[in-house]
Amino acid sequence: MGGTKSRFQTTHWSEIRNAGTHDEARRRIIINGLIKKYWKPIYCYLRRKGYGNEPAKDLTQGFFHEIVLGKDIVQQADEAKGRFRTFLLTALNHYITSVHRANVAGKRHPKDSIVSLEEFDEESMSFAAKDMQPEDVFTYVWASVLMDDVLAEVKKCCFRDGKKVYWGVFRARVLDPIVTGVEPITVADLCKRFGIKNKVKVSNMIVTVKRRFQAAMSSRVRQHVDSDEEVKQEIQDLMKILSKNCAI
Amino acid sequence: MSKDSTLGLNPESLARLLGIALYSDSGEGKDDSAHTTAQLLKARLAGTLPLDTTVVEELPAILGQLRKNLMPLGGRTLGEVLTDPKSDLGAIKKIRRYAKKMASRKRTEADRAVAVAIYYAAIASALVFHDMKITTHSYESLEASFAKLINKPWMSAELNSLFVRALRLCRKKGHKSKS
Repeated sequence: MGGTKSRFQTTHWSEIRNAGTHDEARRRIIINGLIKKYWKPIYCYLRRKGYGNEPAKDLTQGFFHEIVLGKDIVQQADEAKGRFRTFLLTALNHYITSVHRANVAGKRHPKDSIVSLEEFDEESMSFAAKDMQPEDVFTYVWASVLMDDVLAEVKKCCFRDGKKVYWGVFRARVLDPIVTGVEPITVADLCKRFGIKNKVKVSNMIVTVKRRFQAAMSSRVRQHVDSDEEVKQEIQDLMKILSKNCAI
Repeated sequence: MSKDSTLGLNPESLARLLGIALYSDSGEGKDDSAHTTAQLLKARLAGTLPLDTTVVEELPAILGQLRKNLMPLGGRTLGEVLTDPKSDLGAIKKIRRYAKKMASRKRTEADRAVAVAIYYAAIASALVFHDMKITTHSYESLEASFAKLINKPWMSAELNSLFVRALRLCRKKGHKSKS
């Protein structure tokens, strides 16, 4: 897992600038990576903007096909700085405007689908994001995709390193209470459940996994911002946006 | 949310998951009560929810009302409002009032400790940044209270330094009133 201090950290900015390469295979890999990360936030943003299911799918496909796979986004990235998610949203809004201006919405989408939108669990999204502004929906879904990636990576690393119990302890004490709302298990009960002899060891296990989580999160967020210093700020900003939408 | 995805999770919970990436683990290796109190204090100061739900159940009722009053002031966190010299005195007084209510409710020891810390932090903030005593407690009594709070194992660094400054001020003002 990478940390935040990697001097040669690959960011989405550098990736997208590299996407201007004439090496078609490499370009395709880079673009596919971006599509994988961003199609859900974009589709959900469009739905929240009021587009129906099919028009939103068409616009999502069209955006990736015309703007991302085309070289427009590479040119725009050359001139842009700042947060990648903001940049992408701006590019998307420009695209929507251009589609409307041409008054050909629904006709511009490519014949070949780039991403599969079929498996998307629209119901769960609409439940969670029912009162959010479109921009906040984009951020929410983006943060969710980010979180899924981080959790999967941390779990995988724990299992790979023979720390399956560490993951179990972290999950029972930290994750499950947040995700499912169950009562957090006490450290004493964790000791019993996992056959751990002392409480300090349990605490240390949680700290170890949290550190892995922090490193994985920092590494991924670093891809979206200009500098190491902005990583913490970006996470705080995400928390603020999400907290703003808490049902109180 | 589906089994393998956080999509569909409420935004509040997602914010708390993100919070795991931000906060230090200083309290984790210590005993449960100090850890719980530290997490609760950090969460309340951040204006978001804690890393785990050992302490979260009562937050919407308490923090929710507080946030409704404070967030229009600029969307700042509770911690920022308390430690910013430019914070409005009215906002500080509101924090003190809510913290007092929080402290009077019979909840866990951690809840009470955090409420008391926030209560005294509001008083300290008014003293240090506005030169105003927004309580009927004497300077001597405040000095003793700040002294008790300073260096608690669960105390946040930002509040700790605020209490240190307030304690010095109380000592000075207490001596003046005697002479």
